[in-house]
Amino acid sequence: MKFFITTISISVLLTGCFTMHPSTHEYTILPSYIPSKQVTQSVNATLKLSSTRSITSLASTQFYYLKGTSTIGAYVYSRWADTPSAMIDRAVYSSLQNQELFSTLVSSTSNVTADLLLESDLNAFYHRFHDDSTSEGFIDITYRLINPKTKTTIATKRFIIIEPSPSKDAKGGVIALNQATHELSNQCIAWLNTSIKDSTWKK
Amino acid sequence: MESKVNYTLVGLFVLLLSTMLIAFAFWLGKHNDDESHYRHYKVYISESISGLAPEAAVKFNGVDVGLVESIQINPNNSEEVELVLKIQKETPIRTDSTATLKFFGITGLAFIEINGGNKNSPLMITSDTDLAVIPTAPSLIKRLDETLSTVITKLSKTLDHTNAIMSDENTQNFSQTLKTLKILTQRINSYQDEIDLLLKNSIQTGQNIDQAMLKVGDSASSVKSSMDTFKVTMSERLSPTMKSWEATSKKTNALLEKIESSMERGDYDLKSIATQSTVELNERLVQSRILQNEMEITLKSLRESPSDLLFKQSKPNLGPGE
Repeated sequence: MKFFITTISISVLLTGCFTMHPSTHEYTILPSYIPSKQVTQSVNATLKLSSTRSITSLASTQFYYLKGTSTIGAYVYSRWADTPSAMIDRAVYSSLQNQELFSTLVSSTSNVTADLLLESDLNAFYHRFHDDSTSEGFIDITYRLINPKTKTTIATKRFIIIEPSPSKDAKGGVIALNQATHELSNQCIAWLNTSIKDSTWKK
Repeated sequence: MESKVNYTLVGLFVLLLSTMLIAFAFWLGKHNDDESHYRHYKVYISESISGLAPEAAVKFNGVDVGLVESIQINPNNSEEVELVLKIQKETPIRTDSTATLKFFGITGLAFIEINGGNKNSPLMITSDTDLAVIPTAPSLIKRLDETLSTVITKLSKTLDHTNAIMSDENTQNFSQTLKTLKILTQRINSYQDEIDLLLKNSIQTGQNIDQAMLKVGDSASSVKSSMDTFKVTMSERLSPTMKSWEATSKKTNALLEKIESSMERGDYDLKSIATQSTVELNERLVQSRILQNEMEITLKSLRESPSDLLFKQSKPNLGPGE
């Protein structure tokens, strides 16, 4: 009797383990290499990139899509390998290093005392679908260039990047967000270059 | 009897006498008009010279020393009259001498008076080609004219001010003030008794204050003696405590110096010690946040369908293209 009850119980519990699901895809955004230099003159300063802060829902590896303006959902079988904030930080850091706009570039975990600090707030990183059956990669992020010695803002700018998606699935969304991230890197470098030249900041 | 007159001799005598008279007259005229005894000067006068004519006298401190040789309007300045004076060369015309137009009494005839100037001043040099100019001083009439004009102007202003002060409004105000003053005086008179009483009270109060001050003086002496006693007591009792306090303070100072030297060596550089840990802690916090989000998502799905923990029955909302 005891054996019978135990066998039944284990069978019921293991039922969930026998459920078959398709495999989950993990995606990432690799830093892009910009062959031509946008920056003509390097700034003799150390820039520290602060970790991008994001809204709670974007602080995970879930791949979110947006329908219309308010319906949000997550792809079940597609995920990001890292959080969107980490992927954007990596892309921007790599592009800045490639362009050599600043003489020294350090990450947020460095002990180096920086001359300038770049802060950012991520508000949106979605694969957005429209009612007319089109979709796009959508990034909304705000950057602030700060003088850490005086604790004052040198410049601030909000970037809203939209790149069309080639297909209406997670893979298309990844391609579009990949393009959008690279475009964000380019625009951010151009903005930093202009802001430093136009400002009265001195080392 | 017929006189024998030699008419030839008479004629010769007459001719000789006439010639001598004429010669004497010429000699006399030439002597008086000898230009070498005079010097010429120019004077420019900017007032009317009515009454002054050529040949008018020129006086030096009242002494006749020459005459006015010519009078004309200054060709370079129509506001002035140019006079050329002929003055004896011995006359000491100095650089600070001044010429003034003066009149003989009430006759209206004018002459030029030259004031001598300082005896130490250099003499004025003149020549026939370049005549020296004697500066002019205003005549008495001109001075009187200017003074009278000034007096009349000031008098006119004074009258205007007087009129302004004595306007109808001010007169009324002044009358009102006098009335008010009169009323005030009457009231003060009516309060005369009260004022006398007040003064008497003030005198009494003053006396009271003097007495009070004497008492305060006594109290102060008492307080002082109490304070002296307190001071002696406190110094006796606090002395051991203060010594103990001093010893403790010295020990504390030594300890603080040791801590300070350790701080300078960097033994307690909390910032450098904490920085590395803080960075690592931040990384852990970020990862914890991600983990927390994942757990929230899992818990959320379990809350929606608890049987999924065992049977995985519910179907998830698939994304587009899944």
